[in-house]
Amino acid sequence: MNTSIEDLNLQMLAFSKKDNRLYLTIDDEAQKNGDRIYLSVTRDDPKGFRYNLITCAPTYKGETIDFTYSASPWLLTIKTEHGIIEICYDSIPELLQIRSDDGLGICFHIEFAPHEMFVDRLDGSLEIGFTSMGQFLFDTVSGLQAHDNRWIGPRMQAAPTTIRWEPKNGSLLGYVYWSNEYVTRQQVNGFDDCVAENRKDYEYWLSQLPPLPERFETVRQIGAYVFWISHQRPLLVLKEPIMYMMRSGIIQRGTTWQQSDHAMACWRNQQFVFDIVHSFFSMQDEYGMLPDCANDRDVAFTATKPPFQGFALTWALDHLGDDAVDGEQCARIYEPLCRWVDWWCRFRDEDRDGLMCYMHGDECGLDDASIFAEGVPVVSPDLQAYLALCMEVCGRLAKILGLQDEAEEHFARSEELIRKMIRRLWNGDQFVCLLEKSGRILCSQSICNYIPIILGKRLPQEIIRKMTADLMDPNKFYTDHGFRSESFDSPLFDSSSPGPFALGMCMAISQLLMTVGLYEAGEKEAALKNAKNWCELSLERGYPVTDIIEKDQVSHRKSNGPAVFNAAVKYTGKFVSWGTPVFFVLGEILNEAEKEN
Amino acid sequence: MFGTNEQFNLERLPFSVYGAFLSVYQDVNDKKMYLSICRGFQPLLERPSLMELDVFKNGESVDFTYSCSPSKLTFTADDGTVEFTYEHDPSVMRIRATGVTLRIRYTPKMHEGGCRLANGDIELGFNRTGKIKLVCISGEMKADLQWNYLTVSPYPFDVELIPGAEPAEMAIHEYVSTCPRWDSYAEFDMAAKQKEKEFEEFSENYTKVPAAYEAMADKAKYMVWHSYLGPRGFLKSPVVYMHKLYMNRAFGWQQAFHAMAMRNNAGEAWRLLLSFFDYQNEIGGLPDHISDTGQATYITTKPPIQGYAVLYILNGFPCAELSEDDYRSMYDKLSAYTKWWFIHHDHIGTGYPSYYHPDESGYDESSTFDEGLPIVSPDLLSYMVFNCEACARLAGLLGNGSEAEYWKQEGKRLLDYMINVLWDGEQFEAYLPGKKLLYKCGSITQLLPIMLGKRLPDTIAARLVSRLTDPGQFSTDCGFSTENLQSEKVVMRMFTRGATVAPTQFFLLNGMNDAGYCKEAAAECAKYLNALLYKGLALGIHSFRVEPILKQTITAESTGMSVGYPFSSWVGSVFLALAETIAR
Repeated sequence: MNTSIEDLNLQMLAFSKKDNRLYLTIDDEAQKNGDRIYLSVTRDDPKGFRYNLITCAPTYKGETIDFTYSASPWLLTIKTEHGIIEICYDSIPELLQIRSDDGLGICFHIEFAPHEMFVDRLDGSLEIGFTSMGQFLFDTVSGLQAHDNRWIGPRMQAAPTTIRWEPKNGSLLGYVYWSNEYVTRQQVNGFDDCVAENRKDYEYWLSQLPPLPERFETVRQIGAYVFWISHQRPLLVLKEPIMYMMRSGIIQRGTTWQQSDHAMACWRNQQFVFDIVHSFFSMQDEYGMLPDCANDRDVAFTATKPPFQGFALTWALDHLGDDAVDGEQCARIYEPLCRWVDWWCRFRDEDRDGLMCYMHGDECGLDDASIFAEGVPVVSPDLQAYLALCMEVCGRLAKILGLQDEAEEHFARSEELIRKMIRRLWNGDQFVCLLEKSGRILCSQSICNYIPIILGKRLPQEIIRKMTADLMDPNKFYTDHGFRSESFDSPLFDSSSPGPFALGMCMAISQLLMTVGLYEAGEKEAALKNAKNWCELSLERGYPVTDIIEKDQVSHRKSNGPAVFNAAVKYTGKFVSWGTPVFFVLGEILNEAEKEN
Repeated sequence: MFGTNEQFNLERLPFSVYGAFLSVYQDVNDKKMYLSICRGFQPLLERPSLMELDVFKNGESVDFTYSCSPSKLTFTADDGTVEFTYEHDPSVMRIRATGVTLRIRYTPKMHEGGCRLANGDIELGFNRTGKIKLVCISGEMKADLQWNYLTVSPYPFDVELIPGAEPAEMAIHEYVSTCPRWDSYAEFDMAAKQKEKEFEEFSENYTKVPAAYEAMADKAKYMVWHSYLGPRGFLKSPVVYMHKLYMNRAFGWQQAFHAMAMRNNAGEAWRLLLSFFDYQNEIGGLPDHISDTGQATYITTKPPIQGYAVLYILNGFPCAELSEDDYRSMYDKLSAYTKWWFIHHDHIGTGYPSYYHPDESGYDESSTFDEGLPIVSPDLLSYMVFNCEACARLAGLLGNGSEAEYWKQEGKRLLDYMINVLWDGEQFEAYLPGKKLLYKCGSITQLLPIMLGKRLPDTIAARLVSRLTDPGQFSTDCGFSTENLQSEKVVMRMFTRGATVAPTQFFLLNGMNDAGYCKEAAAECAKYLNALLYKGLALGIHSFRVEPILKQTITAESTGMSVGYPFSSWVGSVFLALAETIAR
């Protein structure tokens, strides 16, 4: 459990820095040989993620020794009875420096797969290449480097290898450099200068995130660290920086809609807002479709993600003020956003009735939500709400750009969609879904049907009132640790773990949508109550929460289905960044309210 | 050309066409036919058997045979046929069912997509593989597509193309993100004829081969033609994949072999040779392999044989269509690549580049590397001699005398080193700079310098040829083995520890020919080409039933009749190149 920004838990978090894929984690729970330090790369390998690519350990006189550690965003200190080893990231991207003046060494152990590479270049540097994981260079600036590598010819495989760095005259300074393509020797920068620079950069990004109530400051700082290390630079198929969901584990990629969450959290930095929202537009296809998710090796178009950008940009523009928005930034987003809206209207409205549909669970973002229980394609109210806000934002951007006629068209289109949504999908008590082909109504009890609350005061008061009542009803959605993703009185409710994703679990994204929506709709008391619940949950845990697995796991469903996400796989660095922007947005709402009081 | 009752069937290669990611093939394990998408993130395709194809009549599966030409595949049952071809746009497969139903069956993985649209089209999405849209052009297309919200994918489903009195037709669009509906499709037989014409035009890239090899030459041309992919995704220009399903990549050095076989089209040969330089990095290196999804690994490269290929083309092809721009483009890129080997594969400045990984040699499991790496290997130095010579030749063609002289001297320096230091009277040894030792082994890599031909002193060439043609050492019924048959390390079932592999034959035979041993080269060439006639265009072949040293029985691997991989476009081009020249 994290205690402060200078005592990071590296079992859960990666030690890394902004725009670097190299990372270290420490396995506190290792059963043998004490703690283990793992060096790896945030890289999605189709054969499985290799969080323990290279195992490291401190040594003294050639023998591995026990250690403890302390970590801040700018420095990792390995502590032993003989002294310390310090590790930091250089300003050269993907370069890790390791130093000790206490006579300590360090060893690195590697298990290779067939066809992977180890070569001693004979100039003092060692080159190591992993399939799909890129190449490493090991080099000592001062100190001695040795290894026991050998090649096993018939297996086309390097034998398990240990690299040892030993001090010379009590001092050791070495570096590990990573590249996707080729590695060359580097001139490292001063260690202490690098530490100072990293601290400065982290603190800058901390300052770009919203101030929160004092009691949340520790979690805020940790959240800022997660935000900082989730930001990844362009590489291969990624032409622009994106925010990754995880640095280690099963989702080493960014999803389209997640970028918008981070834009909402960091609205103070206008450049960041537009850069990060634009990031996935750089992967837009010729018809306007955006991918579901992407990393540097794969852009996934099997499905897409909801058109969340309108909701996020509404938040950002409302806070920045339209007059303060840079015209060039608007121009970057305007045209691709319009094409994105048009893609939904052209390819997700088969019956041309002006209401768009999902054709895949992933397109909704709540993959296994009960709105899909009777098939696809399904017309869902959340999608209409997202699109209505996108259309409205297109109008606002057009207006900023001086395109008055286009602005009016977008506004009219948005209003018409909201009217249509209410006319066709509001049954007097709640929003419902329709099967696209038959028009049959589905009375799903998913939180998706309440996402239209994000339209705020654009909705009639009566609708707001009824939705609020359901959301605040403990027999339906309300808990003191966030809104459920499925109503508790639904026959499909299932909060078991491992189990379904969106049939009951309380998720950060739902809190973001509901809380902001309720607040904008004028239901501030409800919004603030949930914001407080969720933020204090994060405070209790010590880090921004992405989802909550309840102690009392309940399933109303008749049969069990497979888990969407397998929670049983063990690995280090499994922190999910998705909850972090939610914590900041809800915390900011709370902070504003507490200041007013 | 291939079929149930032909010498070779679609277990060895898929039915496909130039530029198409969709293909149909027969799974060697269950013998069923599958629709496949040639896209994956590993060189060995993760799911080659994607969607099962079967023929039905009155609700029951019926037996059928199949046969294919380059343009059309036909399943033939007692009551009808199912035919496959492609639109002019190779991303669209066309299917026609007459008298019988085609059933397509699939079991989705979690998060895969499947939805029937209001207009009847079916869109399917596969993890990491792409998407397809099935469009019914005529007849009936039934599907039992139901969404399983818990697995976030459809339940296992069938799609049936059902004819009535008239045939039923379907189009399958292959794409990655969005696929708008087409307004119209070509008439089926016209589409097939178009593909036939395209293949015939492609075949004109090659010159005549002896009559005995004509039938296999047609198969080789088909293998190469249908293995072309790109430009698409990461692929900046058309390149030739090794195989659409089993080694689902375009390998750098293989493009050179494809180029060297296209004797009638220097322009395409040159373009293909240049294609891999599209991926050259800032310091001059080339990747090992590439695909439309990018490159799975940058950790190695492949042997630098581009210089050899340049000289092969300039010396042997009609090159009137090549221009100064072609020479300039090649010179700039080849010289940068050659320098890359000198600088980035010789970090201690010995002057002689090393292999840093066996995959860089193409002889992945060879005994060449049993004493470790880095290694200055004589095959690498031979390729580098050719690279230097090619750079000199190109510089000369561009009127740059001083650079031409520089490269000429570099090539001479390498050759002198090989002859004066590495030659031990029997073969060229390797040098291990880390251990400061010469290393001798049974690998063919230490006799590959015969490729230098007349550049070698007569005594050296004579000794090499004598050993190569000795049936107790390297000469077998199927061609040259990759390890000395007397070596304790020989393992025939391994590609480069004993089996006969295509690139080795190419370099050895051309080298022998160039050194003046034309009869010997022709005789050995005939062994190899004749072996391919009955074994097929497989990468690794041999005629042993029992391992010579290990004494284990050698069983064919599940990939088919041969040991090693199925048909390979690489072997196809080597077959064509040898049949066009040495065999004649």
